[in-house]
This record gives sequence, C-alpha cells and structure tokens, in this order.
Amino acid sequence: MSKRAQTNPSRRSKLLAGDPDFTPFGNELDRLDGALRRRVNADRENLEKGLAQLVLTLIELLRQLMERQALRRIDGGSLTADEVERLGETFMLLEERMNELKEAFEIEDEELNLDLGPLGRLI
Amino acid sequence: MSDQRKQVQRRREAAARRRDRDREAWRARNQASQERQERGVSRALRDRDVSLLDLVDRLLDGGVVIHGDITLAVADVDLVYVGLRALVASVETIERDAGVSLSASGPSLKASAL
Amino acid sequence: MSGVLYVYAITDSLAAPSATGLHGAALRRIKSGRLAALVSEHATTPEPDEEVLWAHEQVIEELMSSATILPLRFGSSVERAEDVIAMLAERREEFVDALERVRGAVELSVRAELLEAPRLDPAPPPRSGTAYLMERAEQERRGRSAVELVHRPLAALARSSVPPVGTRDPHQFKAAYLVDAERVEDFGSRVGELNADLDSARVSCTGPWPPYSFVAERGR
Repeated sequence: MSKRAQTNPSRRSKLLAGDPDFTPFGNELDRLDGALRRRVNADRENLEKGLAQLVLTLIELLRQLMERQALRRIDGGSLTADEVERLGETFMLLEERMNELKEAFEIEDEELNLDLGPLGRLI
Repeated sequence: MSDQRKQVQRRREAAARRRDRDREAWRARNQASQERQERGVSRALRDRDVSLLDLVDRLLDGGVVIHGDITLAVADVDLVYVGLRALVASVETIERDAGVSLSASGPSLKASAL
Repeated sequence: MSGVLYVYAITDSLAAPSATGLHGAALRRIKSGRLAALVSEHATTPEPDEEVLWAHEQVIEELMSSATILPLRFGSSVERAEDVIAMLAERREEFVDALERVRGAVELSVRAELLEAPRLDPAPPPRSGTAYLMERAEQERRGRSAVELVHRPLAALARSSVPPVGTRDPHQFKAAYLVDAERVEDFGSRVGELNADLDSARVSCTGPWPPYSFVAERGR
C-alpha cells in the first residue's frame, strides 16, 4: 500500500512503502552509536585495531578483485581444469587466512571497508 | 609434502567449522526474524529504525561536502586526512597503473591487466 | 566575533528562505551570482545525535518544499561569509549542474532483504578448489539476479539511481533513486507490488528525502 508523498519529519517516520525488517540491518543499528559520535580515538589499542582494519580492508579488496577476475576467466573458458582447481584452493586458503586474521583482531565483516567521503565506500 | 597436506586438511576443517557457525547464525537470525514478525514487533518501531538508518546514511555520508579535505575513516576511527585533489589524483594513478576501474558500480579489472 | 556559519543548502531560488534554522536561529542567504547558500549563525557546529539530525532534516525539507536545493552534509560550517562566497564562486558550474540534475525530483531509499537461504549442503567440506569457485560463482549469480528482480523495475521509474554496490552479504542491498516528484506515488506502489509478488525478497522504501545522494556527478 503506498502512501502519499508526505514529509512529516516530526513523526520521525519516512517509510513510504513495503515492510522493513531489521534482522539483516541489525549490525548497522548497533554501529549507529559509533557513527553518531565520530570521535577521534587516540587510544592505542583502538589505533592498532584501526590500522589492522585498514590493512585487512585493502587485502580484502584485492582478494575480491582477484576472485572476480578468476570467475570471469572461468566463464570465458580460458583456464584449464587444473588451473581452476589450483586457483580455487588458493582462494579458499586466502579466505580462511582472512577469517583467522579477522578473528585475531576481533574485526567484523562489515568493518572491512573504507569511507572515502564524497567518493563513497571502497568495497 | 604430507605436512603440507595435513596443513591444508586442518585449514579445510577450520573453514568447515566456520561455515557451520555461519549456517547456525543464519538459521538463528531467520528464526528471530520470523518470531518478530509473528509477535508483530511493532511495525512503527521498525519504521522508525529504518528511517533513522536512512537519515544517518544521508546526512553523514551524503550531501555536498564543503571542505576539500576528506577523512579516511575505518569504523569511525579517523586515520588519515587527505587533500581531496591528492586522493583523486592517486585514484587515477591506481586505475592507470593497475588496469583497474574503480567505478561507482564496483571495481573491475581490465582484461589487459592479466 | 567568534562562532560559525552553519550551512544547510545551496539554491538558485531568489525567494527568501521559508524556514527557521537549528535551535530557532534565523536563516540567511549568502549570494554569489545566481547561487545562494542558506546559513544560520551558531556558537559552535553541532555534534550529530538523533535529535539534532532530525531537526536539521526538518529544515532541509521545509526549504525543499518551496525551492530546488542541494543539501549539504550535516555539520558543514565555515567561519566567515567570505568562505561561503568563495566556495560558491569556485564550484559554480558543479552546483549549477547539480541543481539542474535534481530539479523537481526527490530521493527515495530502497532496502531489500533477499530471503534465499545459503546453500545448506548435506555433504559439507572438505571440498575442492573447483567446488569453492563454483560456489562463489553461484553466489555472484544469485546476487546479480536478485538485483535484477528488485533494482531493474525501480530504476525504470527513476531519473537516475545509485545502484546497489556488490556487498559481501548477498542477502541485502540498499540503493537510492532520484525520482520525479509526480512519480513518487507510482514508485511506492511498485515497491509494494514487488514486496507482495516476490517470494524471495522483502523490499521497503523510505522517503521522500532531499537529494543527498545525487549532488555529485557519478556518471562514467
């Protein structure tokens, strides 16, 4: 059921249509507090975690780029079965390594991203 | 050689455990979601939540940016202040040198890069 | 005199501002050529919290109801009027183009939850590298088809859109659409239809919003 295009911000409701459920966006809600209090945190532990996030984000970007390129080559038929198998194993190991690192630094999947301001998000 | 095999095997098992955990988490999330729907968790509440999320996305990440400097932020930890011109220039360099196109629809590799 | 000029929006409208600023402050126009910025004076730039974000949004929406505007990011402030004039002069073309781009349109935000379950293999790993890549390919395909089911029909009703970025989680996406004001109701109906018709997705839409996501040139 659609509603009239009406703005009434004092009601703090902007729902126009559909029925939102939050389970998939639950993490966003949790992180909202942080977003609303953008403080530069000079705490050393957080700084280290921040650097780890930066590095892992870049690795994750490259990993995704390479995986996508491999998939494209498979679709294009330019890889032998052996090459596919070797690539797949490598990517699998890479994924597991990333998971270990994420666990070690207590970093969530959603945190692996870079906010480039007006240029949007990196990944 | 067999050591390497064992290592690979251990890693596969770790990955399997992680995948099982992910599946469990997905099942739990799905179940929680069903329960909320059944309990009729206030549509108004969900409406307010999504409105707030969309508001924050827009006001804090969108709109005209007044200053030329932007911040590279990772999980709200301001790490690097970069002059906008310098960043745009370096993005163009990355694109040219690595044969990558970092367009709004997601990164893609140019065929020549391989 | 200390304090800041808090900047809300850029406009090419000649009318006096129709709204009041944050904390009841008066809105003022600072002009440069045929562009103007709408500002109010404050002691400091406000920090974001739920209250003030909604208050800011209310100002923008009131402005939008009687003029074409480019909303600024929350928290944008300068020290002097000269800074505003300089920005308008420096970026004149950018702003004029953007105003044309958004004239008569609003932004609608769409979120979709894609309900397909991940593969619940009865025979789980260990698996081969090939199987891993096949599964990844399947994931990408599923992600793409979901996007087709939800994004395509909505993009057809919009002037332009910020399409869903590939996310790691193929179960959710969000996108923003720039929609002519007269087509908002149709857009809303379409979202409702998709929600009802698609078993595999739950779609919702908020708006109308000022065109925050469309102030920058994104075309390639």
